[in-house]
Amino acid sequence: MFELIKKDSLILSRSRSDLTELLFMPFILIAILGLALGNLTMTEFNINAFPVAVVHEQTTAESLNNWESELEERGVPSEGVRALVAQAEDVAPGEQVDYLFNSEEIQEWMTVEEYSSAEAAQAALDDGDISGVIIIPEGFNEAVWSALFLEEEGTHALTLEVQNVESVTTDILRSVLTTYANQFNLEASIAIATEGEADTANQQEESYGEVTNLTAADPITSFQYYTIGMGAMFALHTAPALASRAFLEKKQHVFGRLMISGTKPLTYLGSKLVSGTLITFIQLGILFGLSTLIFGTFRGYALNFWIDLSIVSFAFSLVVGSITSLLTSISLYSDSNTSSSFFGGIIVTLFAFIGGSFTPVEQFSESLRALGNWTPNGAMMTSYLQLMQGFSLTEVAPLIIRVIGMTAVLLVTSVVLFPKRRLD
Amino acid sequence: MLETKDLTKVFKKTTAVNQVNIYLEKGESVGLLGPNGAGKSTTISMISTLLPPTSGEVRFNGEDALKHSQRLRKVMGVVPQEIALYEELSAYENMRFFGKVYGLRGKELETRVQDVLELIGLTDRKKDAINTYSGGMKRRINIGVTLLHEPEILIMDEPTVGIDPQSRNYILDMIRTLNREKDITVLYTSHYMEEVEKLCDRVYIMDHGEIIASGTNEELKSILSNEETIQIHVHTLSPAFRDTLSKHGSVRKVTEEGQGYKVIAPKGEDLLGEVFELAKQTKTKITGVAIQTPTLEDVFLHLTGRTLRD
Ligand SMILES: Nc1ncnc2c1ncn2[C@@H]1O[C@H](COP(=O)(O)OP(=O)(O)OP(=O)(O)O)[C@@H](O)[C@H]1O
Ligand SMILES: [Mg+2]
Repeated sequence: MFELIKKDSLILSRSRSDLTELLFMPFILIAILGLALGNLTMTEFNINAFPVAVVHEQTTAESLNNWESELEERGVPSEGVRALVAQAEDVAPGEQVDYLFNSEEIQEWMTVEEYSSAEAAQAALDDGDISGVIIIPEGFNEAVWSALFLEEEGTHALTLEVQNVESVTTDILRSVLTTYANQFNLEASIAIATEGEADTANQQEESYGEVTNLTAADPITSFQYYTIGMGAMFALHTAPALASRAFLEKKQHVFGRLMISGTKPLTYLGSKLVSGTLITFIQLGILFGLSTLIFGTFRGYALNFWIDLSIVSFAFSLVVGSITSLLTSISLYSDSNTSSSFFGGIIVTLFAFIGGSFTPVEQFSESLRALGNWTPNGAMMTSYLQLMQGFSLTEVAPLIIRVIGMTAVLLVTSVVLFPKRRLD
Repeated sequence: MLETKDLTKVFKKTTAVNQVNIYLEKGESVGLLGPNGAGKSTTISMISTLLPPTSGEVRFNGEDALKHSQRLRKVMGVVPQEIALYEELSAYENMRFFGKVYGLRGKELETRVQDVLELIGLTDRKKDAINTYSGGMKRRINIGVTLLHEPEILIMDEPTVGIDPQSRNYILDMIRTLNREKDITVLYTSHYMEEVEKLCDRVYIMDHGEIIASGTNEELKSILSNEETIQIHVHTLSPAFRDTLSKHGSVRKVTEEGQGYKVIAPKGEDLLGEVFELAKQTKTKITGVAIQTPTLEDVFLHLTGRTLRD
């Protein structure tokens, strides 16, 4: 058993692509998201800045004119109109987008070009000259002003179009816009399109009724939030990474060789559980440790916090281990790697969103939070966040027990599914 | 020592292995010869207890090998048709891993690993990852890993497939040495009849899931003892010539081979004169004629009407 686990770790550590996916990517995302949302400046970091376009379909002056006439039409007294317009001049949401994208922190990650029309930007996107387009539509400023100053309900949507929905750049852009929407207390809808076609499946209505305030006592920094969020999301990737290797073992008949050597099928399955658990635990340790060393994420927390953090991390690692063993069972049973790619490609992303890896889900609705807590990563994030706000381990115990319950169910299923007769 | 009784495997619709009866005595070297898809690998999977048969059984020392699979597994080494190794790891790491899986530890493990590396001639390259190896080297380490626990029975599924003649000879010599000097029982699968002819005391010929002939090389060839093979080389291939040849009363079989035809006919008939006559009639220019002693390839041809690598 020990040999099998050592071998799994050794092979994973030799794979550049796995290391990139499991350690480098989340770390970069922590850095980017943390920086985009915090005020730390970092110069040591170097990734190629990617180009994006911002399109204003209307100038601020035009917006102001429109708003002024709109207010007059509604019969607002002229003094009021003047005051409101003056206020509006100070807060131009469209210009804030420019301001945000031209800030030093953002410029480290992307370069921003202004395009005069959506069509021109779209063409550049299609040609691959830019990675994304943010369109500030006509009427956007006015709608935001109405919401801000007149407390009117209304929709004001920013449109984000990207080349590749699954790329890291999209994640970055999405999170930057989410921050922006947060600043303005906006209800924003971010439409994502691939190759020019609107992809309705990915369209999200995100409403930001309130500015998130996760805590009364200890505010959670963006670095903390995203270290946890990315940790939870990328830990889930460990399971398909390992299960794919298990499938390869079967396909290349290494599995058969192991069986002939007298290794019991269930020992093999058990080794996947332990490998998954251990590797996830180490992965989380590295991410949290590195994040603290470089960004000071968890600096200053007492030893007790670290112990609790480790306990929660271990429970979560167990669930990832059991997912590893389930995916291993399914791929050996079905003689295909589809389950792992499906999990890694779709389920993880879905879980990451409802679990709150990208943005606190309670902003959307309480029921989404409740649902998110039924995903292993969501339950873990909530536990971490509660620990950071000073909750004790006993207070987060129900969530940990839930995660261990999931582990048990997944494990039983994987044992039942594991093919015990056909071993070649 | 190891035998199968009416071993059968049916996959959904295909009967991959049908009522196969083969046996291995201690120290023997036995060949399993058959074309692609004959059912060799499936038979081997069942013998090595990895695949449960649809019906029939595998017996080891008189006991049901599947029920007591651990007894057989301990003394058996199976070389799969595929390179069943961790390609990211080095030969040395693979060896240590599989050695440990077989329960070897400490000094014993290290000595075994060094010995086997020496035997397969990879000591110099032991630190390199398998995926940097040549095809021949991969084949050698694929076999080497199987030898670590000093198996008494070595089952090999086309261990030389797709490699150069030099590596192949190296491997064949190695297996012969293991068989002759270490008294290891060998079951050797191949679709190269020369290999089996060279290496094996006894041969089973398999086709479409069934054993169609078995015996020592000589026994098998004596199937053809009443026949002879005439190899006719011609200047240009002529279908008309081939046609008239096959219509001739005492010709059993005609196949095209290289720049000419292979004719199987009963011994003693004075066919040669007529062959030249027929060539003349069809205006075919004969450039050479040879009468051959039969090979296993000819046996297979005789039994199935096809060549092994059709
Ligand atoms: N898992 C499987 N499911 C369905 N059919 C199978 C399976 N394995 C083998 N077969 C079929 O059984 C037959 C025998 O296959 P097998 O691999 O045993 O042949 P082989 O003699 O080893 O051939 P080769 O020389 O190509 O290795 C083939 O027709 C193959 O398609
Ligand atoms: Mg085969």
